[in-house]
Amino acid sequence: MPFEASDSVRPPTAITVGNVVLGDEQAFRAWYERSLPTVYGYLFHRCGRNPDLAEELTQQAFVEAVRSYRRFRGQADATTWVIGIARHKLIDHYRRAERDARRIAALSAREIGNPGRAESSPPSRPDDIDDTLAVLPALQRAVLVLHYMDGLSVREVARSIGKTEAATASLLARGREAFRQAYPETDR
Amino acid sequence: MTDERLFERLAAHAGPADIDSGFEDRLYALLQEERRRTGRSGWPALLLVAALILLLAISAAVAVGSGVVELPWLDESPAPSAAESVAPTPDSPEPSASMLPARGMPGMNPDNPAGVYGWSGRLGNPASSFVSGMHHVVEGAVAGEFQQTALVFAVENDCFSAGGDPVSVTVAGIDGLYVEPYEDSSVTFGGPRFGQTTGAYALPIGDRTLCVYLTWDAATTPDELESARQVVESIRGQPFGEDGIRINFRLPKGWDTG
Repeated sequence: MPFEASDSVRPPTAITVGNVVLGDEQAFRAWYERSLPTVYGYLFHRCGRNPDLAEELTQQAFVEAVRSYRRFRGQADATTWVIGIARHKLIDHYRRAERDARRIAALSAREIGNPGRAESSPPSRPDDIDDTLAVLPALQRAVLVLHYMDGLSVREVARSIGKTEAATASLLARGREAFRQAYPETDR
Repeated sequence: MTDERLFERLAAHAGPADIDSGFEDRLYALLQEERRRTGRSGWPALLLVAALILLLAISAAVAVGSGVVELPWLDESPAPSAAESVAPTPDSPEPSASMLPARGMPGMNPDNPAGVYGWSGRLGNPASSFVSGMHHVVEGAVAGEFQQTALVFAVENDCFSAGGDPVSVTVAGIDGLYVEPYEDSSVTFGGPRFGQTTGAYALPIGDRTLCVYLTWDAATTPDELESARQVVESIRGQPFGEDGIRINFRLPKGWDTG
């Protein structure tokens, strides 16, 4: 799967969820050390390379993993499982960012095109993919990340964000255009 | 760079990131504490369940012995044929508290009839937490847009694991707790939707806790929301098996699990 950041951080063998939470200290430590870079890296590159936000979402994902391990099948790979939780946390974040943007827009009665600016303070001229994603509106960033980086189909993205497939395809087209426009001219 | 190349690059964009060692240590300590708490919370619950099973067994033996309950094989009267039905029973009365019929969820047909449906779930059963949801969809004014109200059921030790400030409520005749908004996309039906709100109920059923997560969209009308709350209000539940809960509830027309 595309969200597995690199082969070097993948566990060599599957560690099951039940073993991790109920297992001994060594198993828990091994799971943590293998999973943390993957989960943090996954979130870091999807939330505007903002370390504070990536840490917050990483913490939420791991705490929920430990609290709710009973909900999950014991056969599930523990790192893949916590990545799934992290994705939910990321979508929650996008939802909040979108909601905040709408609230601010209503209060100021003027157009706010970029809810991502407040959270990550990216440079005015983005110089790579992370910075470019960070300047896009939350919804457009969400669909680009879920479709291109996580490899979800348009249907799966639509289900994740609660839109129809047609609306999601349209959002994706706008996101692509915004991304292309914002990506540094020198690198095209 | 062509657009195709640009988005290939986006797709391939991933990689490790430097983690602050202080954060790594703090999070590990926090998880150790959560792990200890999770481990501790399991044993009292298990002991309580064991005690309850013993108590139920003794009560059942006393009831049969005293003639309060008549077993079918000791009697010529027919067994209740509808007990395991999963079909809705539109005109059936409220299920009695002593023995709830095992009814099923409404299924994927969006035109499901109104009636009494049901659900049975167990503590920690993944199927009880994630696929045990249902929704009522209302098409929007714009083609393709829709709004929904949704309900998800679960049996958990802690219905509010994502936090929140619970307030006391009485729902379906049960004194429970309620958190709104409850921020946890894992309890939403079909994944999170922008602009939605979730209200989380924790309702004690015997020694177990039924979690009911009601989610609605920004465009949901007050009538739609009230209708969904009436579904929650209609819940009748009882402990089921070692760690499960069985409920019956009344649905208006058009709720489905698709």
